[in-house]
Amino acid sequence: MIRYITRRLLFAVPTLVAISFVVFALLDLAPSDPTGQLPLTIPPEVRAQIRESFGLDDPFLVRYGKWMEQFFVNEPLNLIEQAFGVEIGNSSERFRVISYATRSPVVDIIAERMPQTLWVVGLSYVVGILIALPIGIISAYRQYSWFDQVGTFVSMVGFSVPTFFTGLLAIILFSVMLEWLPSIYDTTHRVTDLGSFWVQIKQIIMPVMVLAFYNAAQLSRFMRSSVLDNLNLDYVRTARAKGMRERAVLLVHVLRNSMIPVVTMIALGIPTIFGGAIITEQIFRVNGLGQLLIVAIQGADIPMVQTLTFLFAILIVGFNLVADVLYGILDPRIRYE
Amino acid sequence: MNHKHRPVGDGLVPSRAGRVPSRCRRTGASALGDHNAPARERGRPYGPIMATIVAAVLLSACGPDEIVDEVFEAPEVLENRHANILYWQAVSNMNPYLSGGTKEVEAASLVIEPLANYDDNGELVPVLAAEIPTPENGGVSEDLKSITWKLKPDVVWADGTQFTSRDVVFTGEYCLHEEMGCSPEASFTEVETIEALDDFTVRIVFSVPKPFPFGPFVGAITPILQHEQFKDCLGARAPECTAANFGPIGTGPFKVDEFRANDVISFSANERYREPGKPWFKTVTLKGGGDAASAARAVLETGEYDYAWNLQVEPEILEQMMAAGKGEVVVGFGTNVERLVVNQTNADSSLDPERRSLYLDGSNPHPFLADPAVRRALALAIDRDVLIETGYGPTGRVTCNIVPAPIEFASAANESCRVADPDEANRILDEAGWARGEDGVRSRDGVRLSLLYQTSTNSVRQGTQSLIKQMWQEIGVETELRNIDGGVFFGGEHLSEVLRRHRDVHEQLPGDRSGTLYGCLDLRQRSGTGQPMAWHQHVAGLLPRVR
Repeated sequence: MIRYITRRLLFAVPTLVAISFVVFALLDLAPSDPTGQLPLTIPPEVRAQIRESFGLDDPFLVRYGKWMEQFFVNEPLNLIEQAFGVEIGNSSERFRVISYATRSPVVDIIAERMPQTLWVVGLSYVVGILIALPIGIISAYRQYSWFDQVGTFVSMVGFSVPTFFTGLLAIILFSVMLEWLPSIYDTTHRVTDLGSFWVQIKQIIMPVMVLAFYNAAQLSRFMRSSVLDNLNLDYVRTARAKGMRERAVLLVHVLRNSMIPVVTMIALGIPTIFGGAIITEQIFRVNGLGQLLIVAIQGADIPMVQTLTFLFAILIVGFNLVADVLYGILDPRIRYE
Repeated sequence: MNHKHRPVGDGLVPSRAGRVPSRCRRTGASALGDHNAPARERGRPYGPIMATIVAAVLLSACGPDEIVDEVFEAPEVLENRHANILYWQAVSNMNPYLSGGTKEVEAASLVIEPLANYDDNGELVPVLAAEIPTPENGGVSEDLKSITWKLKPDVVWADGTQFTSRDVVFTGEYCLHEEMGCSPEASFTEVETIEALDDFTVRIVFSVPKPFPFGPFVGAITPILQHEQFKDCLGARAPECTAANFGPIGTGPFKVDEFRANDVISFSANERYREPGKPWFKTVTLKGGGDAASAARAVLETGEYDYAWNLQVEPEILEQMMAAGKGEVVVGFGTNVERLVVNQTNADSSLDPERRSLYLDGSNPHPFLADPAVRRALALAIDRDVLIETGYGPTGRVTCNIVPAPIEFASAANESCRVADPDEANRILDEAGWARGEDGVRSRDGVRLSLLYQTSTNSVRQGTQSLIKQMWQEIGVETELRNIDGGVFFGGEHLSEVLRRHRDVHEQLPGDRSGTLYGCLDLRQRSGTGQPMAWHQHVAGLLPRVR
């Protein structure tokens, strides 16, 4: 197992380098201009100078090399310094990945945005799983019952109605008409006591539920079909023939086996939590990573987009590995050699 | 320029939308302090296009005509003296020298101040200066090559230190540093030296006579930075001073408590602000992100925010939201004019790039747009009232003049575009020999009246585009529509490329000065960014060309 993981990790290095090159090159070739957001009063000469100050005049490979150094050497060193309060070398002279738009280190902004995203999108993922698994299991166990029909209908709706619609609907219903919940997420809100915790719940519930609805719809369908596949297998009949209670058959034997593909699915979905839910974040103004990415794209803030995209790539490669490992743990028949 | 511009308007591109012109003290946005709202003008008819800058939404009743400048009564609803402002474009930086976007400049103007600013009528008013230098009071030298600013002696920075001429001189150095890439550098053109004569006197010497010497340190785009805070941030180091760029120490009515890039800024009142009793608000939150329609909703329907800005939203949607009775839309007409820019040089894509869309001293004319009859007909065919009605509602009005505000400088010379007259347009084209072909498109000597019209991606602008296409179809002109993402459309580097790629009509071109037509564009934008007077000197050189 250890050997397998080591091999996979080593193999991930060239993959990531290739991805980093593609990400960098694609964004570099994209026809957008970081000075495009500046007012038209700024004359072309000054724009050229601003672009120069961004380092855009260097040749492509030089910029790629610089970015690699900043991302793989300088930023990790910086993180270590911040975490342990030590200084390694001359840290004030070290160049960091600087955003064009904010002119501040990209990694600091990402760190600032991470909590919102993890709270909202992460929570919605957890809620989504908690809703989807029971629905999927019951729907499969009582196939074609009214519960299954309703579940199928609701998950089809959740699956096909986009979040920008459900989000807007929720805002109009709960914020505009009923005036129960705020439509705008206050990122500066701090939970200090019960009262502020309640405020936090009120502002988080809409985005979380909208996203959870969407996630649950997908997962519950997947869970349902996975349980259905297992229910007809021989080992289930054997278990029943041995006189096991239905509860044990379903929740011990069937569930464990049918979780195998679902766990993979869940693990592979985790990187998307970090990616934020671009649309939902935009609708509720949860200024998390998704919103950061979309603003960066609109403003041609290339270092920000490159760094974020590449971070997502790392997460995807990482969680692919995690999914494979979990697979082996859940299913002892699978052996990595 | 008149007939060449046929502005058609649509709202503005968000980032360069004008400044928020509404100053409704009742509710607050401008009880924020003294930062100047830009030129705005009311009650004047506007020319060729519709001019709308900004539709501002305020919480309480306060129409555009109700400006209370000196005293205002505190609204009882706002007991907690907290203002919630929503900019749907988030602020990314608080240093206008690094990032000159409207949103950044406006956010920074709550904290840092220039020497002088403009009032609603485009008049200079002293801010950190004791008085406006003029030739009469000796502030502007006779040869017009230097200007001497006297500073207010009793101004302190928010950290308690004295504001002196050293800060002004330093700010000049900061912007003019060669590695800087200073965005408002255009305000500093031809500046030779900036020197402190004593602690409260600054002299700026220009290399040429400046009839209008109010470039540096006038207007919100060139505020004064604190020397102490920024002294290690010169040149290439400027972007690295994140703490300073996110939280500049200022002399203005507010100070930054917390800055989250592209998200939210918390301000609190600067207790050392020089004007007693101001600012009225104790705290201000400026939130960013989302889109214009939901920003309008947060003010008009849910009432979570007190003020939202730059609402380029279709009029019927705004009206629906206003029906909730929680707020109202306030429109301040400023200097932004939506317009079409016609390429009069040959943009044929088969031409080699050395010639395509270049003026070449007039030897490279557009096959048909160089014909005044065609341009006149295109202008006449557009029903601007329809464009306003569908795209702008109360936030736009027709203007036929490119400088519609402030009142002192606004021109009312052109009124001819107000009434659309497709019959006359057809007559003009018939007379000029452009005959309709079988497909209804006019042509002459094998040249078809078929053009490409591009704009930035935006639902209002694209709506305008398709309406104009129909209007032109009626006079036998074929139009192909294209829209390009704003970040690309307004991007400087790619602009010249865009120009060369066979584009006949552009809406809202940025300030490329290479062609005859483009030079005039940035006039309006200059005023749009709070310098209503800066166009003086430019106009002088341009008028002969523009006419």
